[in-house]
Amino acid sequence: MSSMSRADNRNPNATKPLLEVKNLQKYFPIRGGVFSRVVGNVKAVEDVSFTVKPGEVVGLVGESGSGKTTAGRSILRLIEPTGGEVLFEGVDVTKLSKNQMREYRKEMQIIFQDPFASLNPRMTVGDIIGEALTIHRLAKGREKEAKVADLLERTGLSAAHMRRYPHEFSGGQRQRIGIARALAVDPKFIVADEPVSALDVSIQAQVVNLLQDLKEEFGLTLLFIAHDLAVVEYISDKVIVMYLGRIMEIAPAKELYANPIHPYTEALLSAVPIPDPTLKRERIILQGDIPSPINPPSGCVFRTRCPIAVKECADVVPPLEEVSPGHFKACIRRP
Amino acid sequence: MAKSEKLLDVRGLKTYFDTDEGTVKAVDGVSFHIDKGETLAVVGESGSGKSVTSLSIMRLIPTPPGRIAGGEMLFNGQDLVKKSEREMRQIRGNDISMIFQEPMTSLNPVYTVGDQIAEAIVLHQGKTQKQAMKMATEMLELVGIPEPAKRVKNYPHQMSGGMRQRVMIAMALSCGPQLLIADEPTTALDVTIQAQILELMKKLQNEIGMSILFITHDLGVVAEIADRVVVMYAGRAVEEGDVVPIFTKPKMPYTMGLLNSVPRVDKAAVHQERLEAIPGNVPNPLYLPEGCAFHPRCKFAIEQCKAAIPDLVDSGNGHMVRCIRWDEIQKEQAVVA
Repeated sequence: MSSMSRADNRNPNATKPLLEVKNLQKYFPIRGGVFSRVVGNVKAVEDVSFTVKPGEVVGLVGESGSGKTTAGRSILRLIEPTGGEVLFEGVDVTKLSKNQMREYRKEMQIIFQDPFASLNPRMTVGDIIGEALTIHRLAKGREKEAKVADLLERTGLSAAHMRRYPHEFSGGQRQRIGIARALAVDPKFIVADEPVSALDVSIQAQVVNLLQDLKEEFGLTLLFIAHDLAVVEYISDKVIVMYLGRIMEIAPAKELYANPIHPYTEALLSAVPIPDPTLKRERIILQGDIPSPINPPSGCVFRTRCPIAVKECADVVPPLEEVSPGHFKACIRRP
Repeated sequence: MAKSEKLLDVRGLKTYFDTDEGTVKAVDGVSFHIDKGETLAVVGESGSGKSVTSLSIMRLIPTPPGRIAGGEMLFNGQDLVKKSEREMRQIRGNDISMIFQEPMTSLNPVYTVGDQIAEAIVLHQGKTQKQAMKMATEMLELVGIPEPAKRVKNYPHQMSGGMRQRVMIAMALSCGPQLLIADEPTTALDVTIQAQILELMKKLQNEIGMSILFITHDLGVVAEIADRVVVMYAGRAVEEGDVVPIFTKPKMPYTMGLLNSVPRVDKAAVHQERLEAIPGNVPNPLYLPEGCAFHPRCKFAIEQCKAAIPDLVDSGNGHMVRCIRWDEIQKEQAVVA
């Protein structure tokens, strides 16, 4: 195999995390008035901590406004986090200078949601995938071409597609190009931000399967961000549920779906429509909307929609507590 | 058994778009009917023609480049294809109304939601502005918006996505239509909000008794809301029937493939290792494959599938299927099982 195969030199059982996110925080200032002073903050990510082990796929789920995308981008420093640490192989990348960060960008890549907006329409597919190889001086000329061809084949396209332009491809094929681009620099860690949300179901399944194959083949470590709980379940080893900038629950994937503890996770799972008209199930319909992240509720941010909230829920932010190995919840009502 | 009454009967509808590269047959001979008080879901992926079908019923196809090239759409026995624009304007909003995917772009940002609901009431029911505003407030209450008297004076931007979709529903129902066309009404919403809106639509249908034509790509939503289902692929209906048989005993390989490719949360405990994806891509509508449009992606395809477009045939109990091999496939499947 080529040098791209990393699976052999990684031990998925290694206890040392590849990525360690500690108290990540991201505020977006709101400016107003004559002098454009900061009059408030959108608290997109309030206090998020989790770890990702090498070879692990971690799903990050939540509804719009939960802060999942902001968290993903802050980790890669595509936007600058307001606070907290992001330790990548023990190095806090939030403290690195732009130049130092460039070295790390090779190790941390991203796959975007919209396969139409994320590929430059004026570049050929070969140039799009090969660009990072040139920037990081990893390959050029024939070698680069061979590498691009290999990536195209591995992502289910063909080497002949290299000279074509993005508009000649369908949504699913473009997402394969986006994946090939992320893999080009042989990264250790990839953030996949809603990579299948814009695709039709039949195509979505193809891309999910591809990611699963690549996970095995490359030993990929992936942070898989999505709002679709079912898709996340298929691909993830561990799932993090976010709501209004905070983590509600973390659990091994199967455990979360079989045995959700947090009332928000429960409601979220029960709201997902299941394609079986004969299935009768008790549904938990949450009332109201997600509150504004400018002025989130005190205490537990979910309490305003929570069916089992009590007065005490408003008092303190519930800590994330471990209930069984690897299963954490932030809820005082569910011991 | 009481014979159900057809509210809308679409027969052989053809909607074509003339482009520089040729004629796109977005809808090519689609037939279905909706009975009074029932919910029919039209399900398909992008390019299947499901939205064009709904816009054709409302006669909202931009002409040119689009045109209704054939077929008839009998609404209470009257052919909508033959109606003048003036007559259609009477029907839209009054008898048939529509809600769309994007509640933000379908509301006017410079008028209050009350004004927008009242406009339809004044226009179609000849009420005074004051009466109409009072009715608008009642409609907001009906669709479950808290503090309707206050909210009626809000502008769309002051509301969340779920609220706006409720406003759209209030507006659509304000004149008591017999048919509500809902084109992906919950696609832009979060799952917890989607659950609220689906509950609301079911509740209102029970109370008001209108028929719903529900356009969606989401099979989970179909299972939840539909009485009957039409599955579309590349501009044609490929399977039609009552919701339970469509999901439990699908007969068209495309429907089977679609159902297998959807990840399900309730299957998490038994965790299927892989999803069964349908290979290939949705065909380009300008260059549809010969014969059955699905054959290049179909694992059951044989030589004859390329020969001619299969007819939509009744496989029993009104379960319609467009596949020359449905009977054989069913037997094969039974053997495997």
